[in-house]
Amino acid sequence: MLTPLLLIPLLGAIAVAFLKPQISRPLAALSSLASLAWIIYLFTQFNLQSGAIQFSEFHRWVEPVGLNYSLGVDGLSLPLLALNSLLTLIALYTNRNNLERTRLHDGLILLINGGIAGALMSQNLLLFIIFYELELIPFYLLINIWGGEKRGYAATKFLLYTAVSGLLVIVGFLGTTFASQSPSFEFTDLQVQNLDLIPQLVLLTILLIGFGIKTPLVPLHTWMPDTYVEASPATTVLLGGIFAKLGTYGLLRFGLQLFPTAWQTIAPGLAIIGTVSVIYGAISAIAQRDIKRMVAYSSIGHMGYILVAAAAGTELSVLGAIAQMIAHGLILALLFFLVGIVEKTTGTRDLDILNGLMNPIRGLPLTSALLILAGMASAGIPGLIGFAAEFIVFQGSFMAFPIPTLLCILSSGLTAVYFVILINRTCFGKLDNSRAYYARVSFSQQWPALVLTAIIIYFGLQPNALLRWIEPTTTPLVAELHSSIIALRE
Amino acid sequence: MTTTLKIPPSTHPYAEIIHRLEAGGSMLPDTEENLMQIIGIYKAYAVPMDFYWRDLLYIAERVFLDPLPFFKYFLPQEYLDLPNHYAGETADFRVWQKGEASAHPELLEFMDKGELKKKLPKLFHHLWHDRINMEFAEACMRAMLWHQGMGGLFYDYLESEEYLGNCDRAIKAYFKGNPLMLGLYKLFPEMFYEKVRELSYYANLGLFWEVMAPVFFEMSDRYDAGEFKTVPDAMDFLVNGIFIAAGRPIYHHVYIGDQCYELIPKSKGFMWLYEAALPYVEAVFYRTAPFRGTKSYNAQAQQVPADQKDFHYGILYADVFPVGTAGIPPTLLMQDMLHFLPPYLVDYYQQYCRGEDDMLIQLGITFQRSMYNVTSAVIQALRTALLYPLDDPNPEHLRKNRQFFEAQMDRFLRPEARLNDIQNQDYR
Amino acid sequence: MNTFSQSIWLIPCYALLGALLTIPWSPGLIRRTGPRPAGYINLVMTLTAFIHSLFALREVWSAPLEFSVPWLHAVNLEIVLDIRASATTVGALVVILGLNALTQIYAIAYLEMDWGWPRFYALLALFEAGMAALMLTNSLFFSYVMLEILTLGTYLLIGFWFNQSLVVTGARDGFLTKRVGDLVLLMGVVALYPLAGTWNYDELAAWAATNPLEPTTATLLGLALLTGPLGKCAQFPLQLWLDEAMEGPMPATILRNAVVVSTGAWVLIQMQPILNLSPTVVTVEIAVGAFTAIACGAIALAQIDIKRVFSYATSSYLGIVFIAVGTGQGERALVLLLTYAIAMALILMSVGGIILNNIAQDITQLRGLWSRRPISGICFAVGALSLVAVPPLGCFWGWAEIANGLTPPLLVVILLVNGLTACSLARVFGQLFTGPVTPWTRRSPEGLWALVVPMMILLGIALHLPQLLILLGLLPPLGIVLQTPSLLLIGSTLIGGSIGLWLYVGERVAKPIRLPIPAVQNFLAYDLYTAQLYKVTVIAVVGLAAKVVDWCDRILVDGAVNLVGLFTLASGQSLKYNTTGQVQFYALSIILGTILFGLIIALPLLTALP
Repeated sequence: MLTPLLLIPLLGAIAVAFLKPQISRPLAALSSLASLAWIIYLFTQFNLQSGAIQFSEFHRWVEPVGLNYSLGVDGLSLPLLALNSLLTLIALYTNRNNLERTRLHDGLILLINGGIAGALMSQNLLLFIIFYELELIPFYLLINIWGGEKRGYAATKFLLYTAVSGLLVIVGFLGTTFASQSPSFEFTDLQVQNLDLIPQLVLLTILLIGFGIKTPLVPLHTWMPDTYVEASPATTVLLGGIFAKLGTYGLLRFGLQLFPTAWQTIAPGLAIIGTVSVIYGAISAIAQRDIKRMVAYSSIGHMGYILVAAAAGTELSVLGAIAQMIAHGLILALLFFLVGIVEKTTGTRDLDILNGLMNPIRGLPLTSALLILAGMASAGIPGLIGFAAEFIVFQGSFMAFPIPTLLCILSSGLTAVYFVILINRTCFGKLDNSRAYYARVSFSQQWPALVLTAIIIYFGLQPNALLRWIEPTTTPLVAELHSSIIALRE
Repeated sequence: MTTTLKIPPSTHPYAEIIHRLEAGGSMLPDTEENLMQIIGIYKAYAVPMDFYWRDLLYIAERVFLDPLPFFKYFLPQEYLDLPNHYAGETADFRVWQKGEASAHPELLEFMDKGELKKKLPKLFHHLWHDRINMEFAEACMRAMLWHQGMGGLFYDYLESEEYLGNCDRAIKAYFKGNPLMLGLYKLFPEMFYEKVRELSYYANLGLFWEVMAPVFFEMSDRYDAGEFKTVPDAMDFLVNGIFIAAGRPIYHHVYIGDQCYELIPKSKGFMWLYEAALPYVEAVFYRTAPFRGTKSYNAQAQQVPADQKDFHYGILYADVFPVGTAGIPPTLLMQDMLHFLPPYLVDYYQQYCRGEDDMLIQLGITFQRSMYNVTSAVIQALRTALLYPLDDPNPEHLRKNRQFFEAQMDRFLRPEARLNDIQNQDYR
Repeated sequence: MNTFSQSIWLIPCYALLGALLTIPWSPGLIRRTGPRPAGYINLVMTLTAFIHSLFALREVWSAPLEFSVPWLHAVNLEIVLDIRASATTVGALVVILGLNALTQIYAIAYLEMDWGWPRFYALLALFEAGMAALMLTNSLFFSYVMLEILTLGTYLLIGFWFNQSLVVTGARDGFLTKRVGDLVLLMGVVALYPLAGTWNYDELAAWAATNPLEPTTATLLGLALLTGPLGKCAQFPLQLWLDEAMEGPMPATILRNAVVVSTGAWVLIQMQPILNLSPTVVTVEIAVGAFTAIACGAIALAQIDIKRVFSYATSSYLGIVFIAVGTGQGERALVLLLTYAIAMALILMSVGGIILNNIAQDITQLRGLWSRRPISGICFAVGALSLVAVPPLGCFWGWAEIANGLTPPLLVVILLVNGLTACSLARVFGQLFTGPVTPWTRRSPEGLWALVVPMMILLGIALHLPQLLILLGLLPPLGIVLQTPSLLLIGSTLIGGSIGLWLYVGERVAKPIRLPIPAVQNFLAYDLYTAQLYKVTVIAVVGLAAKVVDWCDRILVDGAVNLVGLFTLASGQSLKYNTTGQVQFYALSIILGTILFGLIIALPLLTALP
């Protein structure tokens, strides 16, 4: 059931690479649409009564090492898979600015799609590692070939950081498996509870740092602003929208789910890191003059909510954490998409130069309207998905960590501050006469933003349409966490 | 450049333009592109103007003090047929040679079918906003009504006993058999007089535009026939037009039933040039009112000048780029002209900026150019009327002319003035 | 038969539908014809909603109706949209929708030269939907949601004329100030749920009656909940935004001052049982209300901008409402809000017509209009008389009832506020309608029917308000007129009004009037220097924090790595951003980050060690 999600993008990438460049985009889009359709089919087949891994596939592969082709999904990974394919489609239609080497570009995007899908589905630790590391290469190439001025710098920084992230994750996985004397690298076979608390803590910390770099969390984030800013809009949509989510996915899957006892022990520390990330991200964003950098820092802040929620470890907060991953993926993708349009049309991202894009005739009225909506979604205005997710996070985390939660709520006010700065400078004001000759942005360049907007509004009005898929998985997951605490106390 | 030989060159910041004016030119540079643009826009302006003047007169003469004038923009056939005094067979002076005295055929077609290109009930076109934006004409009227100190005697006449006596008769006749309104009139006569003063300005502006519409039509026809070669040709035609119409009377008659009430009789001898044209140029081209979309009316912010004569928000100063946005009244006029652009102008706009999509702004800037040309004509006409010929042999006279031109150009020293912008063809 | 009350949920939907139907007139779609149909559609929608609410009011008069729609269900969190259609809520709807309809007609004339109709009417519709939903909902959670929607609406509506720089800053400040209030309210909302297990107002009131909280919790919770209405009602220290909101178009101002700010008070009244749990909170509530009422009353007197006079009058009135609610007179506060809304809307409509064709908001420039603008003058006068305590007009009854329920110190406050308001209204009236004509007012005809007709309708309503109150059973016994507090109130109106008239009618006193101490006058004229207060406090702190963090981020976290690398790398390579392969630096930064991260994680463990 799940192999198609790997095969479609892989075959798509090959086809794109070898067929005519003119049809590379439709072909790639077709392939991402096909995987999206397949995921929707999986949704219809998904058993909402079960919190277990579903659609499992298992084939022995490299037996001596313990590497098996073992796939499966649950309510944690299935929505993320859908997000992955959706954003791939969006990325393909993000502005291309006289893109060269389209075949390579589109092929790499499909490879990323496959890689991330693989990582999300892997039930074998080694298999996860392979996918986790695999998508670094296409990303590295995308940044390095189609990036901005300092792309070399950014790409190298990106590669080093994420490679270290991968390294730590490998060390963590190997350590976990060997120290706990688990029979295999299969996720379900791991017997972490065999371990004492101290080794558990050490292993968990290693994994946390590994995934924390990817997420990224303060103070491991310094690769992120540079990378997001230098990467092309399409790459940024993928980086911010789904790639970074592998970090939080890892935190939940291999931190919270694997080490419930240790997780509970360090949860207060995690909540602090999460809160620091939230405030740090928001405050840094306020100081930025570059709209893309501003959005990049906003991302640090929003990932902090996820960590706070995961640390709180209540049924509601973990649900909120996953909902926030989806919400943030959609909103950030929309923001980066729109910033890409603004940059392409106006030739600048500088808040001191941009002005008056709401002008209905010479400005970018639709882009501006959507930018306002996206900013408001990110700032947590009700009626949009960002609010639903954040509210669940807040409500869920409040009982466990009241002070960090309240600080998070307060700093969502800071989110409003920088988005208002962004909107006021970019969209409001009078279009400078000397700059009032921007080219027109056609509808065909903007429809992906409308698709994202529609989804953001739909889930904002009907959050249950999203939550119902996640809840069956998070409830048993948290139950396990709680029983382990009781066990610990005894 | 004959003048500069006789007296030393100007040191004014706009010296180049002053020299051009002294040579009989316009403030607008003489290029073929400019000529094509301004003539095209005159034509597009004249068609809605043909509606404006008819409707202004209709409101002033017939709608009068109707407290609920829901249908004041619904022009009756009578006013569509109203003969223009400067066109057609019956004209006092036939400015527009080829045209009829009744409403322009393009206007009639637009009123009939609108942009929807369908013959639908008038009310539907009106509600669909598929109509001429009379609100803009009224705004021009209001600018003339509100601004003071623009010369002429008309303004003060509206406060004279004679005028109030005329008003009183008309008001009583209009509300005959309506005790409510008559009672109200008894209580608050000034309120009614004030409304009638406003209506007198409706008449004033209507009579002003009655002249301008055929002038612009004629210019378009002559350009099409190849008779205009340069921008000064067009300007000179306007100067002639100004002199032809200068003496036409400005009056305000009201028709109640079959009875005509002369609120401002023709015999008062108010002249078109001094009571309508010059105040119009001053109030509308130079002053008007700050756009709410770009200026704050907040008293503490002091963005609105403390003196009416410091107002400088007219088309000669206006920033055209926000046209189409909220709070920018000239959008209404631009939209009116959009319907009637001659094909060559549409083709021209297609080639620049966003083509069809931002035609509203492009034509707005063309309009700005064309109004600099009209203002040049007014300046030259004033010079002809008050000062000396351009080829006057006496250097002292030429110096007087120079002073006059420099004083006129001083008004464009404000940073908001667009005089520098229109010198450049890339300003569009 | 209760068709109309059962379909009461349609009322916000009409407005939203109207807003959606403006989309065809968005930029770039319908270009050849104008945008006015968007406005007409919304007007029709509002009238539909108004008529619907009238019928619904008849139905719920005898039989209030409550029902719930589940919205979100997640684990143990059950968010239900509780709807309550009672005489009060539907009555409030009628008022709001009626004023909306009148304002939308008014806007046809006020914005006749505006090309931004679709956006304007869509935003008014958003406002209308938000307010209607807020009236109908019986849940604190949805009250919060609607307040946020209104905050967003405020931002966009103030930002309507976005080309203008003060509009942009005004929109920003309005949004951020209100959002601060909203977010603190959200803290309270989040904190309340685990304690009470519900957001339904009725259940909350029942829960609060059991006195379930310890004092500190009750105080903190109460203060958080109080902050939401504080921002919404423009109470000190969050009052400045209403001043800046005056940059928006007049029709929006009418609605904002008359009803939108009152929504905060509405929520406050509903939350009062919880606030009552802590005497401290109630004290704060009354103190803030009293301070704002007096301070803003005085500020209003010192304003030269006519719209701002009324923005501060609004804050001042809502201060009185805060006092009333704090002293347990929620029902009476509602009566005051109802009468206030109509009087304020009437005054602002009159003022709007004058601003529109005299091109000035400066009351020193607007003079001597009575003879030419008697209709506006009468409307203003009736609005002013209804606004202060003058029997038998509207607000008197609310004032009198509230005054009768107050302790002497608070009675003094309300007398003072009434006097100040009377004085400031008399001042504006004297300034606008008497005295010599200025160049700005020499030509001033009454406006188009669409300006005058809604104003006249409202005038009729204002004059018939006492009968309406009788009809609704809201009029207190007539004997109240002779109670001492009522007499004092009437006295304060007389004194305040007389002082205002004496100073400002005619030329007895030279204008502009200067106080003996200019510092005091400036202090009031510039709103107690609140803008500067913000600048040196909140804005300075956030700005500084942003700079410091940004500096840390660039220099310490990222740059220090490079700097350390500079010393360790003796090779003297240039450390430019564009040189790739500075592997060591990145490795170092990762290690540094890792150590820091590890330390934070370990912090609780380390502190837990003996």
